[in-house]
Amino acid sequence: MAGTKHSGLEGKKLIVLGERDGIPAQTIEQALENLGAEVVYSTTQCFV
Amino acid sequence: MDLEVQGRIKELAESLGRANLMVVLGAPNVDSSLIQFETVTRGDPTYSGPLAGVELGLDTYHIFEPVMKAVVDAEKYEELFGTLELALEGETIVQALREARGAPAQ
Repeated sequence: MAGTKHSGLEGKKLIVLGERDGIPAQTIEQALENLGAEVVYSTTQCFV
Repeated sequence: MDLEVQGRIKELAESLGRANLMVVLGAPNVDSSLIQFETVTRGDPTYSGPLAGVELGLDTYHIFEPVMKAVVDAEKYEELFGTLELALEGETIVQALREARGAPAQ
């Protein structure tokens, strides 16, 4: 059970800027969950 | 970067303060990474959006950068980003952002 490790992200407010042709924001959020940071804005941009 | 996205980021920086705000990028290449980095640190380089001339100076990292890699469980990181990091030439993105911050090229 993880969760107590000091991540360095505690208390941070995160803006996640994903890209459809790169890494979607949802995947980044998945990686950063349970690290003590709060995602305040998340979007996956699409440039065509 | 979308003008709407710039507007939201500007609002958040004003309402939450810049100190604890951090931007994480998932851009697929060097150009896109640099434009987004520039926009949220030194202002919109295209001078077309709400962040034109606005130097937010936000802490900004690509998910491929070592500082982000270090905080994510290694197994989880590999599962989510391992293949993408190779396919998208993550090292070139990391190097470009390092240089954009003013660090010498390696």
